[in-house]
Amino acid sequence: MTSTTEIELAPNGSAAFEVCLGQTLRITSRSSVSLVAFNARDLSERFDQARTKVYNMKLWLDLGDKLFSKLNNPMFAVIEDGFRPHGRHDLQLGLCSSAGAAEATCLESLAQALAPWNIAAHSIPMALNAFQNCSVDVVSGAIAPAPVRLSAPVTLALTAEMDLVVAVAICQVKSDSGDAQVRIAIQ
Amino acid sequence: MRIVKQEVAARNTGWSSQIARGQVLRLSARTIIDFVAFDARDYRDCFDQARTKEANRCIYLKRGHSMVSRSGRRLLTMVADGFEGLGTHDMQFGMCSRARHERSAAEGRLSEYLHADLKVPTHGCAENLTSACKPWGIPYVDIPSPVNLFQNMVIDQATGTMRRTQVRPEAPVDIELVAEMDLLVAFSACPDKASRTGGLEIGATIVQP
Repeated sequence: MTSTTEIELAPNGSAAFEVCLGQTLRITSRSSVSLVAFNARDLSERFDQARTKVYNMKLWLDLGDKLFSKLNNPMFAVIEDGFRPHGRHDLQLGLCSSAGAAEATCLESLAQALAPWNIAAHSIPMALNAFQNCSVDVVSGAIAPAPVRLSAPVTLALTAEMDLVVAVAICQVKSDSGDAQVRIAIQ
Repeated sequence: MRIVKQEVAARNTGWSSQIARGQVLRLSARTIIDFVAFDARDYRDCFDQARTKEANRCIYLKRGHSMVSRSGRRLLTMVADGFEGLGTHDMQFGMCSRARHERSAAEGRLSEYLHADLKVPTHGCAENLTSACKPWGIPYVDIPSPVNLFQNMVIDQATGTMRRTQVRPEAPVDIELVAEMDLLVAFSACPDKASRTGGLEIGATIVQP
């Protein structure tokens, strides 16, 4: 029987942890979660939005699609996507910038979580913006946030294609004032 | 107005230059240019596709739009676009490379580049930009995904599926970008396999207004 490890989130809504090749990362949430990943054997190899879209030849992720690194290596495969009926995870936009001084930006939260690995803020790539729906007009190019209000948390499951250091941050800026109900589990 | 620099980058090579705030970079081309920029005082604050799309509220870079850095600062503003009305400049994709082309060939997906019969290039934009940025001490992993000028794509509204097109100017046209701060700029003259030409030379002129 495979054991499941629950990951505890820091008060700022972030966490960083290792996921080994073959393990499945499950993120269950009602709110936007930014996710970045690094090759655990070479932290300079980072998740890359563009390489992911080149490989999949799509704006968005479908089941079976992979998240790729800057060096053209697969990092994760999408094996479950409970968000799919409601919206699409975003690979267009950057990490949130703070609307107010009280809220940490996703970049700051991720940097704090990744500090034990000596990964500085300037080395954090733009993220998979999970559960963050946007509308895109492919003719004009117009893009706008189109948030989806989930009545219950849904799960995105990703299976690791290499040993990874992963960091996640609940977007404090984009979250509902209500409970994001985020759970992170590795199996 | 005077010309500070006027050069030509051969097909499938890289080019880089410093450019001062207020100067204009004129790129003359009819095939894909992978173009990046860095704050001259801190190369870590470089062009970012995501930040740029957010700032312009647009997935394409158009006349009047700025290229924006990781920290959200304006690096360059597009003031002239000879491709306007014919096609769009892409900010979805990264740089082509030997590794990318080889993977594509191994998976039987070379037709995605439209002209699969064209010889697979020995190298691509990743290698070109790496060479162009090497004198400035910037390694490949710190070169951001570029603006892919002239890389007109077709995107399916419903599925988000993307495919390359052959839409390119019949003759070279100019794109003009004004530097909003002192910058290092670099580009690759892409071995543009989606174009029947397989990529052509790029004219690069820096003008002091």
